Amino acid sequence: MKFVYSRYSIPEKEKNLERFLEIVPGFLSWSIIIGMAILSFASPVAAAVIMIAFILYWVLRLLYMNIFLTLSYLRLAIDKGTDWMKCVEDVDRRQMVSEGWFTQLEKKFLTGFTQDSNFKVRIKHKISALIRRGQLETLKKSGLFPPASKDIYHLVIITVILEPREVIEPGLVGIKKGSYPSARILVVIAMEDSASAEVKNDMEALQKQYNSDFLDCLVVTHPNNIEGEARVKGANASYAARRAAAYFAAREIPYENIIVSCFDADSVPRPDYFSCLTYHFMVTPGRTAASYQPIPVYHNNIWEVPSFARIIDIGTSFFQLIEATNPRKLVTFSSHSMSFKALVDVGYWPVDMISDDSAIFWKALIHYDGNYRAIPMYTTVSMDIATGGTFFKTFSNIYRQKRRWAWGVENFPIVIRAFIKNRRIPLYDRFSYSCKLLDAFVSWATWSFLLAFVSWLPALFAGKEFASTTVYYIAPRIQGAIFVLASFGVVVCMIISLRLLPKEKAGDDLSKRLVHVLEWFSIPFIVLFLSAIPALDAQTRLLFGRYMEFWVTEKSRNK
Amino acid sequence: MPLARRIIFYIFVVLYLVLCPILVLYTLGFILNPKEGEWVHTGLIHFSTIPEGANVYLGKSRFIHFTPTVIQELISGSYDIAIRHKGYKAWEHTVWLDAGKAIAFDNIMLVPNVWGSQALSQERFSQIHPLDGTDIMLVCKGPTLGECLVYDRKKEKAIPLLSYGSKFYDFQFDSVFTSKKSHSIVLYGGPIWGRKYLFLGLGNENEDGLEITDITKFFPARPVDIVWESGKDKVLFAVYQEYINRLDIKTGEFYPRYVENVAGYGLYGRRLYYLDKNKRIMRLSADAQKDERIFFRHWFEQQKNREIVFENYLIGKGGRGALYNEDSDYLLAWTRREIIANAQLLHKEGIDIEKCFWAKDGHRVIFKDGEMVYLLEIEPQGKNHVDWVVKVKKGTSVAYIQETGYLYYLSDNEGILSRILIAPPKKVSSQP
Repeated sequence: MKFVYSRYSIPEKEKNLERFLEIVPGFLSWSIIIGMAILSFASPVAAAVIMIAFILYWVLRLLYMNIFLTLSYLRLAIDKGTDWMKCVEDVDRRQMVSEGWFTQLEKKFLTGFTQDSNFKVRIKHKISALIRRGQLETLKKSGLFPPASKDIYHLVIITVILEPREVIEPGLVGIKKGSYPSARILVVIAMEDSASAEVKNDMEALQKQYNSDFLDCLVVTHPNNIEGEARVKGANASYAARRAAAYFAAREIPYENIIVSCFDADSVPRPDYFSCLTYHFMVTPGRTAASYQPIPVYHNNIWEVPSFARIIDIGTSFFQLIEATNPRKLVTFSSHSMSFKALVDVGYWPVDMISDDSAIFWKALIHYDGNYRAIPMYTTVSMDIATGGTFFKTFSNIYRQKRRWAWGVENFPIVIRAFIKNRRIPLYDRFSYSCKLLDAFVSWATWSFLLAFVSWLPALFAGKEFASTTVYYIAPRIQGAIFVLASFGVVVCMIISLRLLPKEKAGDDLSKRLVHVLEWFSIPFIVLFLSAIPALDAQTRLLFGRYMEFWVTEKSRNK
Repeated sequence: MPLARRIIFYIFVVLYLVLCPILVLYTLGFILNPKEGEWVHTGLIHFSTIPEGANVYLGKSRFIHFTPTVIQELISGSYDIAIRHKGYKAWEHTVWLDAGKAIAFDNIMLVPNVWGSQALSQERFSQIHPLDGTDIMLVCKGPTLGECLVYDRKKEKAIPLLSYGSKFYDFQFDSVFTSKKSHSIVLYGGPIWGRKYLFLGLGNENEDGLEITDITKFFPARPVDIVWESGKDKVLFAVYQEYINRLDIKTGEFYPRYVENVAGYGLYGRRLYYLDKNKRIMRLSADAQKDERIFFRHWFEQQKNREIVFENYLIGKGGRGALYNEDSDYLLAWTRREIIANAQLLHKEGIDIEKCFWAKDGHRVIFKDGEMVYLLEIEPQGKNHVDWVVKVKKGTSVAYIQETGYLYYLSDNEGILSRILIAPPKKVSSQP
């Protein structure tokens, strides 16, 4: 469906609907918080009972998410040892063998790729082989075989505004040294014209230094003040993508064979990223109507930031790990990849929205009438944790970053308007996506408040009448028991976060690991101040029509 | 993975749908009776004691936990409760419990088998005059000023009121007027041919010693009472049967019949409130030029600090005093034989109730009835507990300091200044 994915340039009659839908998330969030507070005063019994029901729901959901967090982490651990280039070659070879290829491949998978003497490694490989087998069977059934890997190209767009060379370079080195042949990767450094001369010089120097390592390394400068564009990353990336499209067209490389990865300036993909991406692209039947979502981790400067900064971004990784287990409802986030053909078909990234990473998914979903999905990849892209030099500056920077992420709520009214118009998307899908979207933002903004404050308001406001009911005495005990149960979930998070820590940075430093475990006890405060409040802030701004300007996250490297 | 996810999702949904109503019902006091297979609505009783760690008995059965504790899942009905702790008298009570309700017995002050009395001095006294709201009290061995000492309870030290040979050393007094939180007192006494009113500023010692002012000229007749204006140690109101005079000792200003037709009076925030003959509550304006009638309940609801007390409000019924407690929102009033709080009769078997004090969170009262001091505990239900504390010297007063929980008195017969710890200051929270 042709749909203008924007809140601007829309028909007059839709502007009222757009405005109404912009109010919904913030209104709901504030209604829940204020409503529960008022209810605690007006009817403490009802409020206490509702809180019991909510806290039970919360802990069950926490345990539910823990299960999938654990499964996802195990999958990440299994796929970590996978030789993706070999997998790519195996998919390639189907062109060179007969119908019996899959049968032969199945036998090979069942025995595993390796005869490693290490039991754990053997098990991992066996499981990995089983997963590959399942993927290949799906590919076989679809009949939609991919191009040969030698015909597949990668486009990597790195957006830059004020990041110095030392922030960008590790990413380039990571791409260069990856397992995938870098000669088939086009790197485009998308720079803003408003960048300083120093940054511009740095990018030019990088281009000269690394140009021969890739298919090509271009520096594209995005002009300021293009009509219809806001000061957003999506505008910069789209401009660079258009230039890349011309590049590929000039060389007659079909867009169907190109995978584009849009990275932040500080993104450092794992060495196996592009081979993993290529494999997933090849085995996905609808490969040109798909995005490919890695697991974001924030390991670049993990030990150089205060503990609250560490914990909140580990939480982000956890969230993506959990989301990866539900590919039917997975939405793209941060640095990710997609089919270049799909990107061109939908008209590139939005040029007037801050949340381009999730917006492109919704844009594509609507364009393809619901036949678009995000494929989870169990490989990582490492980024920086926002920092600011001092404790308060770092706190402020993280707050603003989280608020910018929460500004993804700007997608809600646009998506709903599109769903109302696009009847080709199955009703069930439209309904479930809408509910998930709204639930995600409202729970993000409200849960911490309900748990931290509202749960004890009935007792605080307790008049004599409430204090003479069983609820007054039993409710806190039940809540306490539930919170104890929830602590098991926190323990699981502690364990997984320890396993996820980059070994090359923490090494065998026991004190660092111990400190990291203790940091998790501050999670209630961190989540409230650096997650819930920014989310509520963003929704409130949307509610009052105070649209946010794009704010660049400060990134630097210790020299 | 998607199939596994769906299965696990539905398991959790079922888990929530089953657990949630069970928890909600349990919170509301419902339990499942397995024998009859039906839900029974129950109540609970919460106990906390001072000191903690007491045994709780329901009928003859002992509860497994010690206080503070909650006994849940009690079917509605009557329960005989006993609380026992070594070294303390048993506390017994009968209570009726309704379904879905909770009864809280908060901070039950267990009465020791023997109250631990502490002598503060070896000297013998005949009278004690507490200055309520201050750290000092006047203790006297005899009727003259020279025989009086000022006892500072914080320093635990008594020093003579006057040095030997002072002007009023031999002044014999028979009435003492004090006011809450004021270090000043007014004494009435002297020889028959020259009765005097003396103003003593106990906190205003200068290099010449204690400040004593003869204020006899301000008293054309003997007042029923003397009260101090809030925050002004030297501005007094002399209360007569039907009028009030105002006098400023510092400036010498005297306002006879400052207010007339008075049935009761009280002071709050530097304003004088009084009951007129028609039992209407009136307030004197700041310039004392006019009287304003106020509506009692409305006015009280507006004020945050409701310390004003109409001490003579019960004068028609023989009221002897009144005291308000902000924590419990109780207004305590007493006559010779009765103690009432918020129109609820707490105790009716008094003989000569002179003084009452709030002790500990406003749920217990210490009162002096004749020579005996008792501790009355206001129960949420059923009969209030009254326990004997100590017998004091006949005709003497007592002082109770809420902040420390100590009762100060003169021991029976010997008149030794002593104290008993009745209510320890540590608060046991009633919050579950």
